[in-house]
Amino acid sequence: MTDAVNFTLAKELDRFDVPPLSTGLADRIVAATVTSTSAPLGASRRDRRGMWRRGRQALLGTLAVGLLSAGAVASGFLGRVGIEVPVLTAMLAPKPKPVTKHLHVAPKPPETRIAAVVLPALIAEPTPVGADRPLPPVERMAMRKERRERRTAFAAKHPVAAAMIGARVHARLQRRALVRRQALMTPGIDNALAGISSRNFAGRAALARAARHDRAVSEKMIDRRILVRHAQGSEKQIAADATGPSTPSSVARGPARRGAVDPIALAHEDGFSQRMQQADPERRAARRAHFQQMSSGQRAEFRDRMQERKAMRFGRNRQYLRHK
Amino acid sequence: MAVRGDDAGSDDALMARVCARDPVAFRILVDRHVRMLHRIAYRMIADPTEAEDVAQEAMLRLWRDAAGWQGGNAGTGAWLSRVVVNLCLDRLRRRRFASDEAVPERADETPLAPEELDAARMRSATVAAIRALPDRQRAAIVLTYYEEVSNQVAAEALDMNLKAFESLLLRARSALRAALTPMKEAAQ
Repeated sequence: MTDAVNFTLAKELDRFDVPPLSTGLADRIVAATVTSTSAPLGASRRDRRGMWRRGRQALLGTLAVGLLSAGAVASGFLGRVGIEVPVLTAMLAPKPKPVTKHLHVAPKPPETRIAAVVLPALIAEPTPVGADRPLPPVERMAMRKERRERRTAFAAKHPVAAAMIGARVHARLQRRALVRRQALMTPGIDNALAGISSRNFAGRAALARAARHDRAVSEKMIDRRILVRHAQGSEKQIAADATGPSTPSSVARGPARRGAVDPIALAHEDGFSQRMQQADPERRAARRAHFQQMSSGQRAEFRDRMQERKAMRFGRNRQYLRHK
Repeated sequence: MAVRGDDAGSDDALMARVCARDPVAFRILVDRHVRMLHRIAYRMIADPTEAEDVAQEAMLRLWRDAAGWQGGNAGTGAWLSRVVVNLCLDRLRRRRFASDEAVPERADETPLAPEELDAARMRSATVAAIRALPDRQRAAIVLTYYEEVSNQVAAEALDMNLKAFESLLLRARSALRAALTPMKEAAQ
């Protein structure tokens, strides 16, 4: 150690000498040991103070660990790490918040929603139908019509209540639509909720785009087919005019087969589809534009009418098959 | 029990005998270590009587705690020096709480020649410089310089790690140098 301290400092420090020990100090020390016990000491000697000190330390340590783990559980740290403290986790786990309405909840079918909200008491028991079999279109349409009539009757009887219920249903539907739109627009939505996943939304959006594209393509194909048919019709007309008196045409052929319950003729009885198939593209486009400008109520009525027609057609087809 | 051979004179063998309450073995240990303990204590607290008390208390602790002695460690010398340093630090702390005044130097009543006068003045200046050090810095200087204990053992005696002890020692030397240089210049 002397090397570390330089020479001058060592010289100064060496001045601090120590006086000699007083004579008999060693004897006094040994004599002091004789006054205390001279019995041999046991190998393990524990005083009570030490035991109490150790016990207190253990208690304090346990308390500190308990407090620390309680704090960690309360702050959610252990949850993030993936450790569960048996009792404390259950005690201090944050209670699940009630799912608010703006979260993504799977929408219920519209019939059930309207029935539950608008006319809870007025709806009669549904027609007993086998659970595994869907309702036939005729019965479904009849039910829907009956429900609409009931709703209209209720609105006529209680206009204020009906208006309030209608406004509430409308607001709820708007809210759900907004939520769904936000969910479609937002990439970072909570995927764990209600089984919704962003991949589904992306898939749905892709499907919608593909359907729009297909519809446009099919419209074009229909237009082209109509144009071809018109051209063929005009050629036939010219040929007929050139040959002289007319042969039995399709118009004359139709009623002749009608007695035999022709399904195609039956399906075209109302003439709407036929008219649409024979219409020129401009007219069809005007018709489409008119449909797109319809209000939601008008669209619903139109759709109902189409459903009724389909149901009637379906019934007649079954009748035809039975006859056959 | 007679001491035979080197093994019989080792610290562990002597401590085993002390554990069996053998005063002869204890006397050997006292003779071996009491001077060193006295030196440390005196340089720490600068009072010969109190230094003897501290040395005696350390030796009696060795006697009392002999049952808990574990062989194969640094030896009784290191253990005793650690006990003495801690006792001195305790006394210095207690003394500071008891009184703010400096401990009076024992007056030397013998007539002094001019050389002796100068030497005494230089010594008292060195003592004053060492006493002006903080307690732990003083302990570091006493152990490493005067007792030539290794840094590792001195760090263990002061319950410090080696790096912290070396830093403490460096600060102590710097403080001593700063205190002793003006005094030397004045003497010249």
